[in-house]
Amino acid sequence: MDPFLPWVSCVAKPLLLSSGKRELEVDPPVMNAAGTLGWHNEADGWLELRHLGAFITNPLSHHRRSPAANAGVAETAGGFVLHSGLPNPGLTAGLRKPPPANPPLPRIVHLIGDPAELETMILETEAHEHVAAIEIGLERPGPALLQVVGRLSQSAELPVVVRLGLDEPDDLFLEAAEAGCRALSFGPAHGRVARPEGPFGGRLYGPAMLPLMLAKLARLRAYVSLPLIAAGGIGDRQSAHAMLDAGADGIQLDFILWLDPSAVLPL
Amino acid sequence: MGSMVATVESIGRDVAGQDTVRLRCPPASLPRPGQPMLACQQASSSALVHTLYPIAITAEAFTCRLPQGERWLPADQVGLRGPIGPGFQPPIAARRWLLVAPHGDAGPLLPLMTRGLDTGVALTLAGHPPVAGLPPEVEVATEPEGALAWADYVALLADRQTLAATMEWLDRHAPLGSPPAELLLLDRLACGFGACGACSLRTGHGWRWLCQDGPVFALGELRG
Repeated sequence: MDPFLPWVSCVAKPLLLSSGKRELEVDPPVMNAAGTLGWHNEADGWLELRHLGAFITNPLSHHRRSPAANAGVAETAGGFVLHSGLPNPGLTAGLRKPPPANPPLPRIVHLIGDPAELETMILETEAHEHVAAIEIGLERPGPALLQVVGRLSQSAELPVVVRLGLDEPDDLFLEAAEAGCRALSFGPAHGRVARPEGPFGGRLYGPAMLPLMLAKLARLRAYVSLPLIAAGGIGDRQSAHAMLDAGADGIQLDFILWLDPSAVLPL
Repeated sequence: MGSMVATVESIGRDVAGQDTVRLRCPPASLPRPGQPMLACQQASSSALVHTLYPIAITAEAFTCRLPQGERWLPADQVGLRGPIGPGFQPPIAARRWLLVAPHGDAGPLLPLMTRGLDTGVALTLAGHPPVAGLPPEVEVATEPEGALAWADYVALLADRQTLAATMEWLDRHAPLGSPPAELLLLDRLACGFGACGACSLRTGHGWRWLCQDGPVFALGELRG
């Protein structure tokens, strides 16, 4: 028997995502985070995905999106700051990219957009075959956007996960739950680092995120009963175990997939 | 791009006084001039992969600067991914190569110099500070501007901070157009396979990714 599967199954049961109409069982409840492996596993050939329960695409916007002019990466004491501007070919072109075939993992499409676009984007995504669920990434959402996303989560055919940042206030997660969201994921916070050419901001990745993620998870778990998926800071099996043990229903891997996937997944 | 395990053969110091590491890896996986490798291992001091730019390549190993913060020792195993990109591709007919880092250290151009020597081309090399201890066949230029008219191929080196100045330098000193030229853009990569978008570069032909489209670019592609 593969040594990885007992490890996961001893600490976590499959993650069940539901829209009320359709369900997705993520088994094991381990995924890549959006933005780590491209749209159809660009790392194919050297990264073995068979131990993931689902594959999450890079973020897709309604229309094609160019990189940020100041895209880049900068090391910090406990990880790194990365800023890309979420470049992507747009939803229609992104959906045309083939899903991971080896193995054929359930594909969760990560969407970014404003309230006016999201409903159309969800309909287009649902019409496409080989999509098992949707994750909607929100940046500092206000109450109005949360209401829209909650309503869309209730009406969607496919299960919808709503993604928030670690640095969003706890109240926002509760508001998202009350608005009708059916599952929440949360990942790295924004950060800034000083560089000789000026300050550089982006999302923070690396082991330094782990205690912050665990603390957030412990607080959220106390009053959010929805499925919670945690991403950030997982750099080995112990940290993955800690996240699941602290109440995460699922985990998403980020920096470790680039640095050393064998630390978390068997190769 | 493949993944492999390399062995630290030795730790040394180059003529510029910087620590270097010689990594032995399978011959089929060795980089060619202009191709970086990524060092990927959890035991690293960094959560970010190290982008290694070779400064010497032999039949069984390559040498690069020791990544900052790493304390690799001989016999240590280092996970690698790469090589990245196609590397330098000088025109076959070019016989006079100018290798120049107008605003920095020319170390990552040295493997191309070695290849040029092996193929018998005439070589001029320039960088700041000037590279010491070069073979006598290599002319060291303190003012490489003059060599632009002589060369029939130019290989340039820059990083993000010096890219614009490097392009300006070339335009200023070769106003009628330089010979065929390529530029190796040094940068720290994050994913290395086109997923993260952090290594994007706006060129004259649109956005390019260093890890997928570079990091060696034809000058015509950069200019548009």
